Amino acid sequence: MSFTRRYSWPAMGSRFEAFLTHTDSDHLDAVAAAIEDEVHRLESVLSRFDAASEISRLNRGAFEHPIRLDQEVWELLTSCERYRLETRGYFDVTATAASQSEYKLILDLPNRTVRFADESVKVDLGGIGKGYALDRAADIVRRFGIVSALLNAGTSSLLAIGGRHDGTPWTVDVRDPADENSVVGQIELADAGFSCSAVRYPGQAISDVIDPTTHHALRDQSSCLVIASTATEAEALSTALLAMGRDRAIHYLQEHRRPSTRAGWVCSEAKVIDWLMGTP
Amino acid sequence: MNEVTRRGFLAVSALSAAATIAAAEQEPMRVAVIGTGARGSDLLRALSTIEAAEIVGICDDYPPHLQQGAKYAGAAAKSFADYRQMLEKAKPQAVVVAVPLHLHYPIAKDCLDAGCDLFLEKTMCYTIDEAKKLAKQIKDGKRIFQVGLQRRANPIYKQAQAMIETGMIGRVTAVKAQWHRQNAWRRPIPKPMDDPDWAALEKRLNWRLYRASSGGLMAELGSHQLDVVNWFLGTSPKRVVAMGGIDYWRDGREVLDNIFCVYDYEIQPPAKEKSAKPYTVRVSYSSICNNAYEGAAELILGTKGSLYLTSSKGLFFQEPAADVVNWGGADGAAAVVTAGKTLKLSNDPWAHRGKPVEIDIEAGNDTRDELVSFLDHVRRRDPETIADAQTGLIDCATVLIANQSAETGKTVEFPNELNSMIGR
Repeated sequence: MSFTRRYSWPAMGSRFEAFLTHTDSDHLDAVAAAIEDEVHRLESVLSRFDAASEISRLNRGAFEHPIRLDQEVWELLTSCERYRLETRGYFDVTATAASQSEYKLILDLPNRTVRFADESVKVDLGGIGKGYALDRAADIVRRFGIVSALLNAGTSSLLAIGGRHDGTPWTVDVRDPADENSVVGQIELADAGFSCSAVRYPGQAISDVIDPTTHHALRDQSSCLVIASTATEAEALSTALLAMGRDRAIHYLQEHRRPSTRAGWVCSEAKVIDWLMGTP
Repeated sequence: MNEVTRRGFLAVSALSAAATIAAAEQEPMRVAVIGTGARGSDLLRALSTIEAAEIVGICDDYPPHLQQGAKYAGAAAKSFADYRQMLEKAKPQAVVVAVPLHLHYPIAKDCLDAGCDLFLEKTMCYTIDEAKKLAKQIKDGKRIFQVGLQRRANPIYKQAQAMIETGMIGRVTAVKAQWHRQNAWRRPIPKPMDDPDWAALEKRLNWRLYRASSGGLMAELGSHQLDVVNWFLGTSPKRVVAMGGIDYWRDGREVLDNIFCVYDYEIQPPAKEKSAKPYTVRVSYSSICNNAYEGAAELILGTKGSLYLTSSKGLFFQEPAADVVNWGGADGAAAVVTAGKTLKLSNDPWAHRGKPVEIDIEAGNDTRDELVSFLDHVRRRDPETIADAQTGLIDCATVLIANQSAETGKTVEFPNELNSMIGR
């Protein structure tokens, strides 16, 4: 008999959670331990707050000289560069840099090295890191024969493997970003990644989300949610679309149609999710 | 000693944590990795970021781990399931070995026989005899050798050692160290239990749980921390008494799920001290698997202060001193100034510890740094690596005698024949 067990642990400044389904509870415990280890490993590699991380090593030295990365970090940074070009800079892991130059990261493929164009450049993977961690955790979950799981990184990033073990999809309630007690819609997830990016959380005076093209904090309280085939893509997109604002987001989505991508907008005081692309 | 600033103890040393290698004009060194499981992959990833290293081969006899390794090793590296074939075909200059403990000796021996320099994960070997044989082979062959005791490359630990040497904590009186986790230590098996391969796969992937392949908590975790003690006290232990059992994770494992040890270290005071009698520093060490409250740390307790050390943080607590108390007063001539109310101090049970001063050093990645240091020594043909064969051998004996004690219920003396190696 299959059953679903829930696991939870602190990581990346938040709380990760995993619902895993299987017939053997020892196996579930071992898989949960393995994905917890993987999330901690990724945090130790990617966190700019950890002095021993690869990103910190990059941030310390890449203006002085090119820094060689391992294949994993290299692939992630090249993905980030691809998202930056596709979103015309609205997704940008170097958004905090004072520099306005077009190419802040100089990537050298044969050597897998990265160099910073100027001294102000720093890499911050906050807009993609949780989604990426969920995708890597999901690789492990699938490798060990689990076909029904929901992974959750602090509620803003999710990844569904299959649906619930009774065959129905996982369901996610979405709140108005300005009102903790509201529910503006429910989303069904199965074999998909999800991300919700909000300008501010309730009570926050100034947003910590910067528009990378103007370097100003976003103002209008709203949130953007994206469903995509991976949690990494969902998070990169929701980060970018939120920075673009609703009108530019609609335009972007029309230019970059993908069958598996759905995007919704929630304005402050809204009662429903405003679907910009794809049906709920 | 001047008053230590509360904002932090700044590093005096101008040396960077990692040796730099002049790679620009020189050919990269040909390096191979044997064992690309969890730890082997960490080492392989770090190696792939070091420009002075060219990864020419990787080896693992478990195909999923080998495939994972190939992703990090790069296109120029060849993959092998048989390490002997790899040594013959890829001809590496240096080899990094991260395999289950019982395989350390046979694989390390073959690497040395093939003329390679060697980085071997801790604990050096599965038995003290194997470690002795390997140490002799390294010495006779004049090989460059390093054991994976990465705290030796960690700037926080190096700073702590300097602080102790300069007398900042006074005489070291005792050490309390532990590695406590909430962790079953089990890896998931990628086949269902009714698969005919399941049992063999489980023994392979969970090698740390079985006596034929593992030295348990002491060899996997204790080796790092007892090496710190050996390093800071400048000697090996005299004896140990240990107790442990399988008291919680009763899942078929053969290694202890908790162990508690007390080591005696006999210290010879420096000649300039009036009393020349040796004294004993006692070290308590524990490792448990079902509570994470204490975490992993070493607490070095001295007559003047205490050092609390982890890989990412070092804290110095000063012992409360019987300072002259200044009660205030107009000209300071009065012995006491009173206003009729009893002066209140904190009710906090930890108030006596005072506020710690942090060792203000930016830690790097000590796995990468220990590999940079190893490659630097290989390049310069300098056998005095940060954790050489002698260090590895002493560390190996230190942890294995604790296992022996827990098993026999007796105090176990540190093997005498090793003492002559360290000039005792």
